[in-house]
Amino acid sequence: MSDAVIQAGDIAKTYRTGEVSLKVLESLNLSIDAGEFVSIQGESGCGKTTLLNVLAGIESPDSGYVKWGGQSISTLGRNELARRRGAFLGIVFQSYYLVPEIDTLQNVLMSRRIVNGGLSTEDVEDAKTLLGKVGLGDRCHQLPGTLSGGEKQRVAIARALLTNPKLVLADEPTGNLDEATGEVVMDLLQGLCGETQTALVLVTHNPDHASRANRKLTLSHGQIH
Amino acid sequence: MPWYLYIAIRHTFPKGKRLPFFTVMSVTGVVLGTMALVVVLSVFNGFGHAIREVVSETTGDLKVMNGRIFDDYEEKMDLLESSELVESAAPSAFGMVMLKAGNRPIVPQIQGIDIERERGVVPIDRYVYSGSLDDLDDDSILISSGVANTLRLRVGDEVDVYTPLMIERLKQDEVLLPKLLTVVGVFKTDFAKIDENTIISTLRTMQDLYGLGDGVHTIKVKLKEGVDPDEAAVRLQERFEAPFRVSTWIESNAEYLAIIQFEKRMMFFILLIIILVASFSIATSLFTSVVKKTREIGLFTSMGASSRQIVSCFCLQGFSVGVVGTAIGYLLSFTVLSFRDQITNALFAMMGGKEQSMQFYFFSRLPVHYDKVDLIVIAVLTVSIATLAGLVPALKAGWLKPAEALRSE
Repeated sequence: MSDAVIQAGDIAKTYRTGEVSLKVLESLNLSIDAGEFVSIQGESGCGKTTLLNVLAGIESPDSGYVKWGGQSISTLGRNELARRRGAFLGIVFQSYYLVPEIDTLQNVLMSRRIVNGGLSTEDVEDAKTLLGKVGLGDRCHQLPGTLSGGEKQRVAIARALLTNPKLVLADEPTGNLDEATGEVVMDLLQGLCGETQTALVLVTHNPDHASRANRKLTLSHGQIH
Repeated sequence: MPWYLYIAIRHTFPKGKRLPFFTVMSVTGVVLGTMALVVVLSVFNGFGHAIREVVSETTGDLKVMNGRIFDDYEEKMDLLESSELVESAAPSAFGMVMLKAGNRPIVPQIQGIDIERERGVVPIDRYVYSGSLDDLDDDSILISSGVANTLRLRVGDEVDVYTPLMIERLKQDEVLLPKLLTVVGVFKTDFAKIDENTIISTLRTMQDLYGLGDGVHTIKVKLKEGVDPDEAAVRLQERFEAPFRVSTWIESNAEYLAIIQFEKRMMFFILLIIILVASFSIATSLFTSVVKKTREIGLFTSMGASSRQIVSCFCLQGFSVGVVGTAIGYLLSFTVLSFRDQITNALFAMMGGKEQSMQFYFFSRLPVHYDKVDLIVIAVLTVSIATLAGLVPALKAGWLKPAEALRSE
C-alpha cells in the first residue's frame, strides 16, 4: 500500500480566453509521501500556483485525478470538498491573507473554527502554543495591520498548521519578504512541518529555499522534471 | 460561535478599529427608518389611546339611549346596576345653550348631571381645579376652562343662560326670561373637545332649561374593572327593548378612531419606504464589501468553508446591521419621545400654531403610547428587510469560485 499523502496523475489544465488557449499543465504526475518536503521551482507563469490549486482541490483539472490519502477528490461536491480540504491540508499564501478585522490569535484560530464548526478552550491553548512557537506569543491580541510582513507570514503558518494537516502547500511564502526574514520564515515552516511529520510542498523562486527540500522539482512546459 | 457569525460581526463591528464606512451608512439608514416608524406610530397610538382613556373616563364606558327623552330612568338604572358587569350608572341630559357674560355670548354644550351618581361614573371632582363640585346647586353651574377663558369668568361670577325653550315659548306668545346662574367651579379634563366648550349643571336645572320634565337623554354606565365594553354592551342590550340601545364609547367616537387608525396605517406604509431605501444602501455597501473581500472569501473556502457558510456570513452582516440599527433606532426613539414636550414647544416657538394644532387633536400635549405589537412588527420587518438586502451580495459571494477569488486583484 502506498505511503503517499497526495497523488496527482495525468493532470492537464488549459486556460481559455476567447480563442486564445494556454496549456499550463500537461500529463503531470506527482506523488508526495507523508512527512516529505518537496520544492517546486519554475519560471513565472509556468503554472506553479495552478498546480498547487489543483492539488488543493481549489481548481479542477481538465483531466487526470488527484487523491488525498488514497481517495479521489474528483467525485466530491463543492462543499464536501471544501470540508475535507480544511481538515486535510493547510495553505500558506504569498500575500498572507489575514483577516484585518480580527486579532492575531483569532486569525490563527480561523482554520480550526471553520473545520470544527466552533472553538474549545483546547483550541485556544493550541493556537497560543503555535503562536509561541512562531515567536509571536506576546502578539496574540494585535491586529494584523500592526504586524510586519514576516510576522504576518508567521501567523499564516500557525493558521495553516493549527488543524494538524497531513500536507501544507506553501505558495512562495517568502516572496514578499526580505532575505533575512525569509530565512526565519523558512526555518519555522520547515521546522514545524518536520516536527509534526507534515508533508510540505513549497513553491519558490529562491534556489536556497528550494534546496532545503528532500526532493527538488522543476515545473516547465506543463510537466514536472 | 460558528465562524461565519463571528466574521460577520467582526466585519461589521471590528474590534479596536474605526467602524467601517459600510457599517456607519447602513446602520444610520436603519436607525432613521426605525426612528421614523417608532416615533410616528407611537404618537398615533398615543392619540388613539388617549382618546380611549379620556373618552371612557369622561363619558363612561357605555351609554344607554333611545334617541328621545325618557323619564323612567330610575327603573333602567336599577336594571343596569343589578348586572354583575356594572359598577355604577348615572342619568344625564344634554343640549346647547347660549351663555352671556357682559356683552360676550357663546354657545356651549350643557350637561345636566345627578351629582352623586355622576361621581360614581366620572371622577368629576378631579377635574375641578377652581371652586368645588359640592357648591353646585340648581342656581349654579360648573364651566370648562375654555369657557372661563373665552368669557373671562371666575368662580362667583354670574352668567345669563338662554335656551331653545325660549324660542318655543315665544311661538306661543310667552316670554321666558334667561336664567341667571352663578359659576361655582372651573374644570379641565385635558380632552379639548370637552374643555373647549362645556358647562355642567344639576340635572334639575337642565330639565328646567330644556323643559324635559323628569326626563333624561342618556344613562352613562361605568363597568367593573376588567370587563370588556363590547361584550358588556351585547349582554346588557338583552335587558333593554328597542328603541333603547346600549353603545360603547368606541361606537360613539368610531369615526374619529377610524381616521386615526387609517392615518396610522398610511404613515406606516409611507415610512416603510425609508427602511427600503436604507436596505438599498445596505445592499450596495455589501456589494462593495464582497468585491473588497473577494480574496478573503477565497481564503475561507481554501480553509474548508462551504458556499452556504459564505452566504450566511454576508447575509448575517445585513442581519447584524438590522439588529444594531433597530436597537439604536428604538433607543433614540424612546429618548426623543420622552423629550417630546420640549421638542414640540421648541417647534411651535419657531413656527407657531400650537393652539390650532392642539385644538384639532383635542389634547394639550403630544400623547404617546407604545404598542407592543407595533414595536415587534417594526423590529421584525426592519431586521428582515436588512437581512434580505444582504442576501443578494451574499449569494454573489457564495457563487465565487475559490481559485478566481484568490487570484482576484
